[in-house]
Order: sequence, then C-alpha cells, then structure tokens
Amino acid sequence: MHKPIAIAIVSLVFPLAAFAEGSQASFDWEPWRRLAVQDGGRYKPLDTLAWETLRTLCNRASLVDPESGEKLGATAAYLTLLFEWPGWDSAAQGDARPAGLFPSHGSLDKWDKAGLLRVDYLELRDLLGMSADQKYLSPAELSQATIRDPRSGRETSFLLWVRKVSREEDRGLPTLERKALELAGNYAEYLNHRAGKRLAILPIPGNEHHEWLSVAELMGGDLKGLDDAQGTLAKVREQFQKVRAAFLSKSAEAFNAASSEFISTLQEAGPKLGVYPSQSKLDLEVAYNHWVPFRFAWIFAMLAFFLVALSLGTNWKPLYAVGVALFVLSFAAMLAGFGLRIAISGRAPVTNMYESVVYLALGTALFGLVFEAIYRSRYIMVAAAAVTTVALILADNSPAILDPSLKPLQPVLRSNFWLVTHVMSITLSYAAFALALGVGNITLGYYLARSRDPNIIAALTRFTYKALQVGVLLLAAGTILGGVWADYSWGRFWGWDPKEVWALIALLGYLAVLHARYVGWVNELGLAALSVVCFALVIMAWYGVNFVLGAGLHSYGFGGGGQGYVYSAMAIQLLYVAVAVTVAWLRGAHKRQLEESIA
Amino acid sequence: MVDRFDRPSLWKTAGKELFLFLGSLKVAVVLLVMLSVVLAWATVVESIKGREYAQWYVYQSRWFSALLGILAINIFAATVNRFPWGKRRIGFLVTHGGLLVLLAGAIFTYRYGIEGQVGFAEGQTADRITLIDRSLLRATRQDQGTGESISTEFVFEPGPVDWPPKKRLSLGEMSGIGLEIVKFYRHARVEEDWVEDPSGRGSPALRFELAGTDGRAFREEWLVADQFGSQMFIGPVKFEFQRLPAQSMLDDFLNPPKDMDPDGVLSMHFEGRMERVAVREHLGKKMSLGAGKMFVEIVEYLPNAAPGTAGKFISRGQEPANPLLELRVTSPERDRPIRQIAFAKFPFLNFDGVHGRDCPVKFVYHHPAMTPDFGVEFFQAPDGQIYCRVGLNGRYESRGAVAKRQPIDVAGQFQVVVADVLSHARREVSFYPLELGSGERRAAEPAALVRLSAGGTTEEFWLQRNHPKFGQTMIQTQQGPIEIRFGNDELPLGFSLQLIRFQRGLNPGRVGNASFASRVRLMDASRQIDEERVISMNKPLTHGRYTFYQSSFQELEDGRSASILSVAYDPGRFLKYFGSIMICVGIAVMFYVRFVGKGGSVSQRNTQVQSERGLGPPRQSEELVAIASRSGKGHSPTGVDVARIG
Repeated sequence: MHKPIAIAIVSLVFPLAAFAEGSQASFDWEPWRRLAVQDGGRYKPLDTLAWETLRTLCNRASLVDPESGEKLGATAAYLTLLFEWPGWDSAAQGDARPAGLFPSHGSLDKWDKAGLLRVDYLELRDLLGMSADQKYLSPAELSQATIRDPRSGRETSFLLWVRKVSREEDRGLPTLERKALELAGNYAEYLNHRAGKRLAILPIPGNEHHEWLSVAELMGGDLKGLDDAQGTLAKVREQFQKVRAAFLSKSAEAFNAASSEFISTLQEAGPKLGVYPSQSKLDLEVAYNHWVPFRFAWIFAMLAFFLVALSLGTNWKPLYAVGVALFVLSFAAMLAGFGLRIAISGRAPVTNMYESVVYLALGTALFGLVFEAIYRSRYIMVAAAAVTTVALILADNSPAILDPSLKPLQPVLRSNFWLVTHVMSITLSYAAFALALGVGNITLGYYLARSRDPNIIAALTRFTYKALQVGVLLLAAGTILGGVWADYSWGRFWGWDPKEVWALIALLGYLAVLHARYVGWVNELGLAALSVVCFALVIMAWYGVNFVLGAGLHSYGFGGGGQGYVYSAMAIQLLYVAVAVTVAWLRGAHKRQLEESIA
Repeated sequence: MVDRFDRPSLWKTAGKELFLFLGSLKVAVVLLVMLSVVLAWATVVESIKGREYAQWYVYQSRWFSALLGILAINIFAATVNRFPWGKRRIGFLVTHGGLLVLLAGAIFTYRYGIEGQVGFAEGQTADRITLIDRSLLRATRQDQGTGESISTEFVFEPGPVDWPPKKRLSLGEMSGIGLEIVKFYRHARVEEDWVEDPSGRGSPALRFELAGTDGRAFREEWLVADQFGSQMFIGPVKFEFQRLPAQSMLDDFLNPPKDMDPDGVLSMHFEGRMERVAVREHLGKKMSLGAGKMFVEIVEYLPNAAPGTAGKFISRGQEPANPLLELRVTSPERDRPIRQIAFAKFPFLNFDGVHGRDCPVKFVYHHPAMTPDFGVEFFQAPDGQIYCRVGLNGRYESRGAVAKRQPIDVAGQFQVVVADVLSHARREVSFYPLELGSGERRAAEPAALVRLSAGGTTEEFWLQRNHPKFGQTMIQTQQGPIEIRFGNDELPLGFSLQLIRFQRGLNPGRVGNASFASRVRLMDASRQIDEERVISMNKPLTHGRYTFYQSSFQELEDGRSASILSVAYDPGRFLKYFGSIMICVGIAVMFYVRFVGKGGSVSQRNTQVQSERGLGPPRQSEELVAIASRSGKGHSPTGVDVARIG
C-alpha cells in the first residue's frame, strides 16, 4: 500500500482515521518510538510499550496535558509522564526506594491528579463512590479512596482492602474483587511506569535470563552487578538527565539534540552488552502500530458492503465493481496485517482470541471472494463483507476483551506444526459458518420482506449450503488435527476436554442440519434459520468455553469479559430468526410448499 | 444405475426392517441431536463438578459408551443398507467407514491403552508408571519362618466423589489379610489436634489465639510444654510455654531481678524457697541451702559458652553472648556431687534427666546482657495454674495468673487469649472431606478409612494416599506387624529412566516460562541401551511401547527440581489416524468430486427420483425423495448442479 495515497483515501473518506502521532511539532518523538525496550517477556519498540500502557491504564491512544491542554500521542505521553516524574531528583541521589502502593515522592503532580485510570465495571465505580457515568479516576484519588468493605461493611482504604483481597486470589474471587485487583494493579503500574521501573533499555551482559536494566535501576545506581568499566552507564545516566532537563526547559532544539545523543548511545551500547533486537524489526512493529492494517481493512470492508448491497438494489454495475475492488483491498490489508504480525512475532498469528477473530474476518473475506469469483451472485459478497466488518470492528474496539498486543507464547504452544494447522482450519471453519450465518440472515431478510422470488431463495439456500459444506469439512479436519496435536503434545488423541467437546458439538450440530435436510425435515427457510442458530454452537465452542465455562486444558486462551455483549448479540440474532420464521409461517408459504410436496 | 428396488424379498423380513430403521437418516439425525445435547450438558457438569466427575459419570460411563455404540450401529447399518454402493457412494462410504474405524481405534485405546505418570526428582531413577486413576493398598509383613517380607496388593478404583455413608468396598482376602474400605473422601484434609490424654501421660498443652484490637481472632496455635518446653515465632513475636518444676520459680520468672551485677544473678530454688545471689561475689564459693541440706558451688562463669571437648564447655571470649554457669551441687547424704549448668539464654536447658537423675536444686540464671525477646511466655506452675509474662521494650512485665478466654494485652496492636489448656495432651489425627470449590481441593489426595482383619485382629485406621506421614501405618497383629501403605497402582516399565536435570527456560527478562525440558538417562539392559535423551514440551521420547511427554514440574525444598512426565501407550493410534484420514478424504469426495457416467450424473439421478415418487415406499431412498419434494428445480444438496444467478 502506498503511504500518501492511502492517507489521502482514508482521510478523505474517514476523517476519524487520521491518527497521526503527537502534535508537539517541535519535539521530535520519532526516534523515541523506535527505541528498543524489553517488556512482558519480549523486545519491542517504545512505541508499543507506550500504546499498551495507555491502553491498559485508560484505554486511550493519546493523553491531554492537564495544564497546557496539549494533545500528546502515546509515546509523547509516556515520556512526558516519565520526564515529569517528581521523584527523579531524589532518585538521582541514589534514593530509589520501591514505589510500593503509595507514591514515594511526597508531592502529587498534575498527572497524579489527572483521570488516568479507567474504571469500566459499574459495581466498582459504585464501590469507589464514582457516579455511574464517570469513567476515569486519578491516581491520587485512587490512592486516597476509602471504601466500605463489601464483606465486613467497615470503612477502609481501597488499597489496603485490595491488598487483603489479593491474598485470597488463588481461591477465586468474585468479579468485583477481581476488577478491583486489576484497577489497583493498574495504579501500581502507573507508579512503576512513571518512575521508569518498567522502561528496560539496556541488556545486562552475561545475564542468564537476558534481563535488561531499567531507567529506574540505571538512575538509582542499582546496576545489578553490572560493572561499568567503559563508563557507558555513567554516560547514559548523564545523557538521560540532559534529555530531561531539556524537556523540562521546553527547549525543543536542545531536547531533540539530547534525545538523539541518548538514543544513539543506547543503540551503540546495546548490541555489545547482550541480545539486542534489530532496528528493522522494531521499525516493522512501529509501522504496524502506526498503520493499523486491520482498521483499514474494516473501513474498506464496510464500504464494500454498502456499495455491493446498493448494487443489489440498483443493479448498477460500477457500484459492484468498486465494491469488489474495495473488498479485495480490505483482504489485502488483512494479509498485510497478518504478514506484519508474523514478521514481528515470528509465529503463526492464531494464538489468542484477538487473532482468531481477525483470522475469522480474513477467512470470511477469502471465502466471500472465492465464491464471488465462481458464482458472481453478490449475495455472498454482501454477507462476507458484513461479517468481515463486524468481526474487525469488534477486534479493533474491544482491547479489554480482545487484547491485540503480541505476547510470548506458553511453552506448549511453541513450535508446533499441528497446533497451527489445527487452529487455522478450525478458525477457517468458523469463518465458513460465519459466512453461512451472513447468507442465512440475508435469506431470512428476503422472507421478512415477503420476496417470494424462488430463484433468489434457491440461490441463497445453495450458497448457505456451500458455506456449510466448507465449514463441516474444515471443522471435521480441524477437530481431528486437534486430536493429532493433543496426541503429539500430551499423548492422548481425545480426552473429552470441554474445548474438544464443544468443537465436536458444533460439528454434530451442523451435521444434524445437513442430515435433516437429506431427510426432508429442513426446507429452505429451515436451513436459513438453522445456519444462523447453529452459529451459537460455534460461539460456544469458540468463546463460551473460555469465557463462560472457564474449564479445561485450553485455559491459556482464557480471559474474561464481554459476556453481556455476546449474549445481547445472540439474543438479537435469535429474535431476528424468530420474527422471520414467524412471518414466513404466517404467510403460509411454508405450509403451501409442504402441501405441494405431499400432493 | 443400480436400483435398490431389485433387492430380494428376503430384505423385507422384520429383522431387516429393523436394520433399515436403525440405519435410517431419521435415526441418525435424532442421534446426532441427542449426542450434542448430552455432550453440552456434560461440559456444564464438568464446569461445576470438575473434570474427574464428568469423566467418571459421563465420558467413561457405560451409558455413554452405549450411546456411541448405537451411533456406530446406525452408521454401520446405514452403510450396509446402501449396498451395492456404486461409484457415487464412494465419498459416503469412505466417510462413514472412517468413522467406524475411528471408533474401533477408540475402543482399542480404551481397553488396552495405558495412561500414567512418572514423577522423579533430579538424580532419581524411575522404572514404574504411576496409574493415577487406580488406588492401591499394599500390605507388607515378615514371614515368621523365613523372615522374608511378603507384599499383598489390593487395587481399586474409588471414583471421583466422596462415598455415601453406607457405601463399603471389600477388597477381599489374600494370604490371610482382609481389607475393606469403610469410608472414602475423594479430597481429604488432615487435621492434627491435641486432646486430653485419659491415660495421664503426655505433657501439658495450651492453645492460644491471636486477636486484633477488635477481639477477632486471626490465628490460633498450640504450644506443648514437653521437656524443654515449646517455642514458636509468629512474625517477630515469640510465644513460649514452659512447665515450672518448682512453685517458687514462678515469682522468679514473673518478677526477674532488676539492676543486676554485671555477671548476673543466680536464683536457686530448693524446698519451695528461692535464694538469689550475685554471681561475681559468689564465684567459687560454696553456699548452703535449706539449713545445710544442700551445698551449691558456682564453679565457673563462661561469658560466651560453647561446647568443648569431653562434655566440658569453653568460653569463646569475654563478650557475654551466651553466659553459662558451671555449678556443683553436693548433699551431705550423697557421696558424689551433681554437676549442673545454668544458661542465661535458655533457662530450661540443663542436665536434669540427661544422666537419669534430677538435681534437687533448680537454678535460674539472670544476666543483664540478655534482653528479653518481644513475646509472650506462659508458665504452668506445679499446681497446674497458668501464668504469663510479656517481653516488651526490653523488660519483662508480669501478667499474673491467666484465666481461660481472658484477653492478655501484648502491645497496642493485638491481644492474646488462652483458649484451651490440657494437663496431659495427646495428638489426634482426623480426616475431613474437602468442600467442593475449596482452593486446596485440587491437589488434595483422597483418604480412606480402612478395616484390616488378619488372624483374628480387626482394626480400623485412616490413610491418606501418598501422604509422607499418613500414607502408611503399622498394625500389630497376632502374626506380627503388618505395614499398610496407600498409594497409586503402578506398572513396571521394563526399563528405567533417570532424571539428570530439569531445565526451565524463561522469556527474556524472566517473564513467564518459555520452555520445559527434562534431561534423562535411558537405561534398558535388554536392548543394551544406556544413553542421554531430552524430553521437552512437544518433543516426547518414545521407547518400547511407551511415549513420555513433559507434563509439569515441581521445585523441591532442597533446591532440586522434580519433573513430571505423562506416559502413554496407545494401541488404537493407527486405527484412529487411518479413520481420521478416511473421514476427511470422504467428506471432500462427497462434497467436491463429481462422478459422471455410470453411477449417475445429476440429471439422470433427478429423473430417477421423479420416477420413484409414484412407485415405491420413499423410505429406501428417502433423501432423494426429500430433495425432489422440496424443490421443483431439482437442485441437489450435494451441490452438484450449478445454476448461475445474477
């Protein structure tokens, strides 16, 4: 994708997609974004660390300076918080006490008083005395918050209460207490990030676990047994102070000069001290963060959906052509996104919920394009574009549930051919079923709209059927491959693990539909309705086992949240099916058809 | 096209009707839906009651096997019913045949497969597989004639739940030993408690509670005053319980001397009276007690005592780090003097009882360099009453006589309450079932109340499986002692594995595990193999018929690691894989391969269908009739005909 053209297209059509980083024109954050850091078990650019930090703390992509009102991009915000930490001056004198739960620097600054901590869980807002529509709390407010202990009813400090609660963590906590722990964890992270404890910038030579030295350790003089024979660390320390001084004096020129000095010292020293990631890989990740290919993909897919749907109504060819082109672009953007993720992480991108949702979108788009190429029916295209759009929007907008960050894998998931093929074919089957769901919904729409054109219904039914066939084949193969993986990794082909069982239930459900159609128990209307209803089985196998049942061996994919949305979406779908089927029944179409067939 | 109407009339007998019914699509659909519902229910059961429960009551149960068996019959009958098959049935045949092969493989695995565990610490060698689901009681005794030890093994599968009160399981009788399980808790908790010993042996014991200022107890502990008393620390606070051999010592402990001489004060207790003397002034002097009944001499003052040679103590310097007095007690009635010692640091550590006799004079040595620990000390006077003193701010404060449940102030932060006092305590071990959902449950082993009958002796006792202390017991019978051990059933490997090292790789920066690997030495004498191998995640080791997989690990207290490998032998593997391939290929053929010519192209088939409608019963080709009845256009759900639209 050519950069300027892409920007032009996107900013013309979608002003909201103009997500340029930072507006501090004079301060140059660009070199900082590409700086290598170690975090969460892998090496990443500072850009990623900054994005992830802001997303965890307040689910934002940028911050507004509470005093100047200036908007700061993720990296700028992260570094501003770091540079403006009031503890630096004492830290430089060797006082690097752990921050603990309360700030070790006495005074609270503007950031401590800014609403940086997001509270999403309503009961938690209530507990903290926030109003129901207040989303943010400042770190200062949180550290001083007193609550009424839900168990004993006594007044206590929130943080002390959390500390008490955390001791019972492994027994399993109620949601409120889990969310409270999470919030307190975010608060502690805020303090750590500000004090430079989470910003690890230099490898410790000869360290068995490849640990890196954080800015806090560097400035606090705790060098973890590192001897500074070449004086590199002293130099880095001095340069960091220089950068900070320049930043605080608001002198952009001095800051940019000091920054490039500091960063080039790190980049020179890093590879000599230990494992240091290559700049090209870091640049790739920065590009991935910046371009958000999957966002382009859903924008294109949504446009494609509207254009092709419109062309169905108007039969105007150019609309269709542009729609197809946009859908191809969307597909290409997804491919690019996956390519980048693979290049960055060095593994197949099918290991968490986020990636599987995006992969579902990719699969649906693939099937949509293939079927469209064969049948030129446009219905499939509309269905595929709709499913792709919904899946990608979900993935792009719910980071709390679908975490897009790249994380190191559990050992059992590493370097495993069978795992990759198993997950890819299962998820691809979900994509086919999602396509069937889309076409099924369109079919029900035709029934609702009282369109009696048997040609359209027959064609739609055939496409539903084709999608189901692809899905059944892939799900059967994927489930079996799962057995092969389990056999290879654990020594048992099939162990009736809930995830296995639900994949089997989904397969059995769709098989029942296919067989029932052979018997004649399911007609066109029934197939459309069942292709929608049966997707609930996929949802259960895919999401429900991890998030609802919460049991079994596949626990590394577990997370929490989003149940409300999923249930609502399922309820709406089922309601739609019920209404459509009822309408069709009332019209007697079904009855008449039956009579005809019996006669 | 080969038509099924040409079949001999033999097929129309009742048995064949049944067979046709069993193989019908309608039954297939009903079975598929039923199986889905059962499986969905089973996963819910599993999320509530746990994996073991669902395995036992659903997946491994007979009725579930029966359900799968009916499905297999349905598939088989459906396949046979469609004979002769013809070319266009290839996909159908391969798929459904594959399912049957897969199920056959599953039966092989279920009946003849082995799944177990090998757990060993670094340096240990394993030559047996532990079978997790099977429990084993092993009775071992010595043959009275030859002196050889004879083991008798009783294997049973207790299931995943606590047994109902009336359930008992007799394991039978072998070589004169009969075992019966009377009670069984699937997950058990052991509690050791102190109870009053009616036999009057045993030392006094005391249970105290630690409570906050609001009076709510947050911890309780037992202290047992055996010979040297008992001592424990909760955080920095010391708790101690001592039995005083003389009533006069009470005053000595509750009100220790103040403003002492630099070498301290020695308290001497004799015949209910206490006498205190300054050590420095009386060193080397003979003192008379009880009007000449006893004489005490302070032989030596050791400021920093340490054990020397020949039972003597030496001083390691002049710093009073561990002051000790060597004492000599003489009585006009005895010819030999008694040697005694008095530590300032350990007031209850002396030679009483060590040489089989007690010194009639009791000593307490107070030294100014010994500052009191922060803590609570309880004393039981010879009359049985409990007294308390508290070490606070470097001084002792007496709390006087202590009544049960009467709070004792320690510092501003908390209180101590004496909850229970036993004059003669005996340890009692009780077993309790763990509640569902309790956090400890996962790792907790089962416990069983076992009844042993051997040679006229019958005894009941609790055992917890694999417990280092409560996993075995020794029962005295008329035929001599029998040792009963409760563990898992095992199977010999036929070779052995030694764990050389367990390696755990971490992600850069020590965040999360990156890899697990066990370096093992494989020793198989029968094949002359003795070599090193590595078993890591996703890289199992196969030897003989067993395959070893890295499962988990434990860090032991001594710093070593233990590795846990799961072991499997699966004789059904080939069938399962073969069946799987058949299924996948069959589905693909059914959906995507078009057969033209003999066997029927689409148009021919549909014509055939049309003609069938008026002729015979729809049962025999129900799917085709159904297709035909549904759509006049004659499109087929096998997706063979293609009509472009749009």
